[in-house]
Amino acid sequence: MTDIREIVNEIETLRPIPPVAAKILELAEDINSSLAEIADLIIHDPSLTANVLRICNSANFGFSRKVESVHDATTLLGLNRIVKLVLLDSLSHNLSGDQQSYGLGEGELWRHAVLSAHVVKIMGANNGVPHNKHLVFTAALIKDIGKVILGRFVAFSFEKIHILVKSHGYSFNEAEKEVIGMNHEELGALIAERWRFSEKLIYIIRNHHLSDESARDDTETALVYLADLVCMMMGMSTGVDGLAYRFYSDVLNRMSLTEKDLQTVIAATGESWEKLESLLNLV
Amino acid sequence: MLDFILPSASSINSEKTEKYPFMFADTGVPAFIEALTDSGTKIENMKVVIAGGAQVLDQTGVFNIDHKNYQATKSILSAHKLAIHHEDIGGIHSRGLSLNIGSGYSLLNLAGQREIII
Repeated sequence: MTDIREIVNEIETLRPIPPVAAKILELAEDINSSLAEIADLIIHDPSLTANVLRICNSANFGFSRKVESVHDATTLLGLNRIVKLVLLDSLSHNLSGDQQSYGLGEGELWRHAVLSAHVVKIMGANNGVPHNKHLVFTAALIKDIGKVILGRFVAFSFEKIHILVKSHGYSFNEAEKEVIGMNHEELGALIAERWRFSEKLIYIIRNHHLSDESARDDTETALVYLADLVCMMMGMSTGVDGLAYRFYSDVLNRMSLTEKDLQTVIAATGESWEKLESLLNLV
Repeated sequence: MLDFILPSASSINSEKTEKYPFMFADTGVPAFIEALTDSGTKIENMKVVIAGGAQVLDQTGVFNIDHKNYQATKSILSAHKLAIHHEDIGGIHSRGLSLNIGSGYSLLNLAGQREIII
């Protein structure tokens, strides 16, 4: 088994989330925060300001006049889209590389992250279950951050993991835990702790495959989990782990969702495909 | 080529299914065959290659939409008297399928593991 300390030390090689992005996340999770407060944070970060303005002025948004200030940008785009842009901007570096050991080519982990964040949004909007939408968006985006580090170790142990999945009925994350001593959810949660993310965000990352039954009662974690499965099923950038994750049907009952509801989310995702592609090209 | 994601237009809660017939097996496959025959292709000259249908680990069958996609496709093809020339279905890995227009060969990519020419 790999020395866990060796894996944890690798966290330092990730580019940390800029403090301003972490702060914006915190504000977005707080229902009492205002758009102006968020704009004030952005303008104190020159590179973030430049990116928000660049994206805002891209043909995609089609505003008739040039957007010249962050305050204008926040008013025009609204809180949701601003939070989304900030997140996409500050997380893309870590997820956009090549995750060869998971069989994911250049940018595929990032692509999967953005798509599942989008699916969780559609899922939340379709089902009327009360939840914190910024939180689930962020969680969906960052849930697989552990793969960036663990991938280096999965490469050495892939044969053993593969045998457990193929012949012994393990899911991929169960096999990771058995062979390496840690799976990508646990490592992702450690990274999130190191980056001082909120307790809830750390919890969702740690439980996003719902291996711990108690997490199935948590609406936000369950939404992130279901969105991830929808992405896998739609064949979005799946690697060597493929679809080797467990589906717990009781999650649907607990959230009063039916198979038809799920298929509706899949159809809505297919419908917004073009929009998603342009979002991916922006960042 | 047709890339659909769900078995049936009637299985979702939406009025908009008519806008996206190619998203569903039961509307997409017949529309695709019709488009081909309209452009002069003869049914007997068609060579059907299907790929996909990977599934998550689900004991209950609720989430096995991809298997339902496969079943729906098979029954529509058989109703049109079309035999499947090659299929690569099921398992836990997604696939990529491309068609070389010049040669007529299909290239099947199994989750970055191997490629098969059909």
